[in-house]
Amino acid sequence: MRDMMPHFDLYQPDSVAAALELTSRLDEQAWILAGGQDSFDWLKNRTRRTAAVVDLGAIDELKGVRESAGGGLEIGALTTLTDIEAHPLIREKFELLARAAGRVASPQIRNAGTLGGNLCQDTRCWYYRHGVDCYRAGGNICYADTPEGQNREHAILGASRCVAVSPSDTATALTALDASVVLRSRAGERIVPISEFLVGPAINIRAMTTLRPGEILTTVRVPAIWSGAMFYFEKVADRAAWDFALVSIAAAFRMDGKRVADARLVAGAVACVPWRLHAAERAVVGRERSEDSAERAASVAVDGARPLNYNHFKIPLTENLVRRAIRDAQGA
Amino acid sequence: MVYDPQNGLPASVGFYQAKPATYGDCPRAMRVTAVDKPDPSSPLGTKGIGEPLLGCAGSALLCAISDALGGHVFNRTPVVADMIINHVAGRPPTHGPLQTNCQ
Repeated sequence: MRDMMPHFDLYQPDSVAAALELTSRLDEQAWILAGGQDSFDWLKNRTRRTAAVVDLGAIDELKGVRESAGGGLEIGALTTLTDIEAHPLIREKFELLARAAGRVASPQIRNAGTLGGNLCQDTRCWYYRHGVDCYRAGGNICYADTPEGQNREHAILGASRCVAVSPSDTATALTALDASVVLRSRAGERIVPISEFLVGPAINIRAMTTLRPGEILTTVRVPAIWSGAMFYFEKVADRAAWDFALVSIAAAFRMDGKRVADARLVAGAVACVPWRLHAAERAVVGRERSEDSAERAASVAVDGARPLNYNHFKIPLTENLVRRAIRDAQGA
Repeated sequence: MVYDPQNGLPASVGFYQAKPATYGDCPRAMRVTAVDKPDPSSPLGTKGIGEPLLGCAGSALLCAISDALGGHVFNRTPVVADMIINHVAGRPPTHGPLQTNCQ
């Protein structure tokens, strides 16, 4: 019986204060549930069990998009991906995020899945999801990084014992937009840049975020920096819908006349976190967006990549996506 | 379908891992030419459906891929996107020879 969820106590608070009261009381026992598109996988497969689930779905203050004082946006963590994709403010200012949200999984999943959940979801490394005793699960081995390991979807950059990759499309876009997240607990509030919120195995091999027990991700803040810039998002996956990225690219360019004044190039699914391609950014800043600068940036984009047995193809794929992002970015 | 031969673990244990094609993966227009054309070599003009087509579809696809790559032949199935990307990028192939169980 792989479809029946084991018993747990279900809490459905209707305010953040009530939810924090619960998470602080239950501490590490509390499984925080948003849209359930990751959680139900774990629970239904019985790979993980929990004594208590705190369902944030009824908390209206965690939903919706507001303009902040500086011209940026404050997006409630429980806003669904469908709402993000369609929201006029997001489409007007940060179309990159709307496009990334629109490429997540399938329409049904986007209707239920939330921005906060998409950011906090666990890796999709199939060995780890299978419930094996790998590094990430507290063991002492990586099954994917072995001569026979089926590691086509795994990391080419930033691996440290664990070679799992970040599955989130919105995390890639939000990294390019220099977003930050608001984490609330009973002790107060932390505002953490997304580049520090998402962590690789060298920092914490057991978790993909710095969310602490008792904390809830309440808001995603997108600063005005990249508002109305030129954007490019592309996700390459085995099929056109309902799939995780093999490689994705989120790019933002601010122009000064014909030249690029500043750029962000972030690759998804090549490392455990959205991977900023600093060298490629430097290669294009100060130049015009052209075949020539695209070629220059692509040639340095994935320097230092260490492919596994079956994922060499991610290197030319990432280089090509960088080329396309520089050549084809649109907007403003 | 993905399988780890060393640990005997099947990876494709859900629809999101087995990945049947969706509407998004089908060509917008498909032309069917085999219907209403009797097979001259069978007494009733009938043709097999199902199993016989698998071989035809496979060879047609492999020929099309070879054609698109200027004559390069992978000489195996399945041909997956990774192999094509590697080939076009001029990188060495990462796929090993097919393994057979001869016991």
